[in-house]
Amino acid sequence: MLDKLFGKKIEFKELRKDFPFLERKINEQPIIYFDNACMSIRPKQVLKKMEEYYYKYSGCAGRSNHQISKEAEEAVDEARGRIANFFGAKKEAVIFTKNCTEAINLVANSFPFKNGEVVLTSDKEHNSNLIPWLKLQKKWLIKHDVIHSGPKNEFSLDELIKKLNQHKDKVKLVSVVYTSNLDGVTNPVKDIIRLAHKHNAKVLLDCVQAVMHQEINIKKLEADFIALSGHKMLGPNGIGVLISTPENLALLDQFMVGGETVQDSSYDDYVPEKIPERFEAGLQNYPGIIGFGEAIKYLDNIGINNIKKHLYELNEAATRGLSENKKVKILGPKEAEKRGGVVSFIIEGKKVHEVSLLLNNPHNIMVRSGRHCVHSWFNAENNKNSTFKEGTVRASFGLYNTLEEVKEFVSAVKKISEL
Amino acid sequence: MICFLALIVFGILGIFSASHRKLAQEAFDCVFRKMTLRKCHTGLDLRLKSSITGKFMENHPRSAQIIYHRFEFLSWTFTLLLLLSMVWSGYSGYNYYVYGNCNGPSVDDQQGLCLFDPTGAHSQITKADQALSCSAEDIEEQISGTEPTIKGVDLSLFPTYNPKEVKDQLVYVGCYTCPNTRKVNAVINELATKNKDTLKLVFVHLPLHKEDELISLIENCLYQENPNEFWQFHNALMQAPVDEVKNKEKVLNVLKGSKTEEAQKIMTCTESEEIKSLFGKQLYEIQKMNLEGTPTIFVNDQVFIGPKQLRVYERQLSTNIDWFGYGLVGLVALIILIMVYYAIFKRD
Repeated sequence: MLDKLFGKKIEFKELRKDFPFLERKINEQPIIYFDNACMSIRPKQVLKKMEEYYYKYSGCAGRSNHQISKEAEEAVDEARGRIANFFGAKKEAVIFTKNCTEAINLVANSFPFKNGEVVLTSDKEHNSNLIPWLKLQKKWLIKHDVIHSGPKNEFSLDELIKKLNQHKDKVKLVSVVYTSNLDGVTNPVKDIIRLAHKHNAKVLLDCVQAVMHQEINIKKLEADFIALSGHKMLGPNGIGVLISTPENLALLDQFMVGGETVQDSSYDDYVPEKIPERFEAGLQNYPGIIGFGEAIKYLDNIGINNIKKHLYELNEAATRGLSENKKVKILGPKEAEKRGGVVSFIIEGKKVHEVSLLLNNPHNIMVRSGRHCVHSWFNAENNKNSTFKEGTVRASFGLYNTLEEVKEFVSAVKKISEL
Repeated sequence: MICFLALIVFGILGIFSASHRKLAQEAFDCVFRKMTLRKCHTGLDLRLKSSITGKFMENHPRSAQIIYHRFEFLSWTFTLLLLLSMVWSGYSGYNYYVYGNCNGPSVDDQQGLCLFDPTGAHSQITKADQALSCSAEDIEEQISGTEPTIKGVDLSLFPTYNPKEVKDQLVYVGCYTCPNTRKVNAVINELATKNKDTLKLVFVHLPLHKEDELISLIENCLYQENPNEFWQFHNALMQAPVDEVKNKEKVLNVLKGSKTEEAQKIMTCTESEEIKSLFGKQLYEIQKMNLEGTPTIFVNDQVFIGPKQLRVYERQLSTNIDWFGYGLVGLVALIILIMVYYAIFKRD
């Protein structure tokens, strides 16, 4: 039954062989990498593909007529096609950016906002989906408003409806995170999209934390824009995408312009290029794009649902283990399944940075501590005096992590809490 | 507080390793910020606390617990110890600069270890009570713990160089066969030459051996005859090999070298009752000096035991300008000004 539901059965331990990084030892001890919400590790297939570009066809894609350029162009095109297919989009609606932040900035700076129109975001946005809107607000171009979470600290659809009604037809964009990097909670994006569309507002989804454990199909979701980064899904650094539909992209003005973004130019004017090139200014990160395409292929072979199941098992074990410790407080819902691959916690009486440092040394467990670029949530009045005011320790799991590693992690947290 | 400790430790380790140098820079940044009343952003204290606790966690959990919970207290304790040690080191440095010995100028101070002078070369003396001349039996045993002095001592009995305008006085007690006196003689000569117009120089010969008595007698005769001839003879003896100084014939040869035709006259003079009486008076005055050994040098009111560096004696002269000292004070003032500037105008 499960096999039918989640597809083929994957031996995740076997996959570790694809990640040479995990063979690394520090102080003659193996490392446990639980910082996947910040950066995932690349399989050797991705590294090999990128190396191949540099060794065999490191030319300009789509600019020159020679063989090398053609090979680069084909590789980039293949990657674009693979990414489009993976996210249920049309190939021409995949725009390469530097990362998710740039993808959101692209929308922020090219969406046809009129003065006084409103952008709504949730109260748990990463700075990358908050600052671009605050900057526009400072320029008096838009009004930014926040959809506050409900009593259980989960996304409140009631609050969304309230805000949509409050601003009437002024809300033009709802830009929300799909899965929070803070506590791993996944927002009800389907409902958010339905409600926003009902009020003629477009929806931009920050999918960067969701991509590793959520099947994201822009067509099925009916989202208008989705933004994500390659480095969160086994891809290289410095590559991200904005995925949309040709119709929605046609609404956008050009953001960054220059080489590749125009068909023709004179001293007085220029003719913009078609999509997606019109949004991809300058020479692109070809090895990044090709590597990203390969990462998508790798993930597709495993199956997102298999990864989701594996991450749930890991998070379930971690949550169970940590919950047995009375000094540990987990941020967000108690149920691991609601937190994807993230468990964000504090140990009472211990500073979060101390905990992460003690996990690092002597346990070689890599986690992140602090406010996770969601400063606004911690600075909110409700949270200023909460148990989590100093931030949290965040363990985020990847497909290559194992239950044994989780057990070691739980045991290390116990030792630290007993200090 | 741990940052202060880290600055010192990593500062030293940083001499040899680049990674520690980076940590030292971080620690310096932290210390400087704290000293200028600003917040330290480096998080170095937290990293050090975790790192040290982590080292004990696996094998000594109880120790790890103590370190974790008492880290601030331990940091303060070690920092205060370090500060005390630094103050002590600073005091030692000051003593070395001013008195040529880390521990100070007194007799007892010369015995302790001085890191700036690990061999103790600048504090070594030839003990008076171990090798007094036979004729010096009249000298009563030295009173242990009492400092050498020239108060109440009739210095006019001893050979003296008197410039026209006396501003400072140096009393130089030494013996010709003592290695430490011979070591300092060149320094005293340099000092006397540099300050020939203002420095009164008195040489007190302490005859530590029987054969040295003759030298005292010769010196007295020579000085009475011609003070200049005395200083020539004095320097010639200081430069002559010790074996020659101990040998009467060789001493006579030195005397002949400086005053050939009158050497016999001088030797005759040494037999005179007047000179012998003078020598006795000199021994009596030396006894009042409560000497520990040679060389013992009094510059104005300050006594120095052992062969010190030129700067040590120079600092005591009223004519001296202490550029190094002023420079040091200026540097400290500049650092304080910079810190005040940062504390007021460079706040976060």
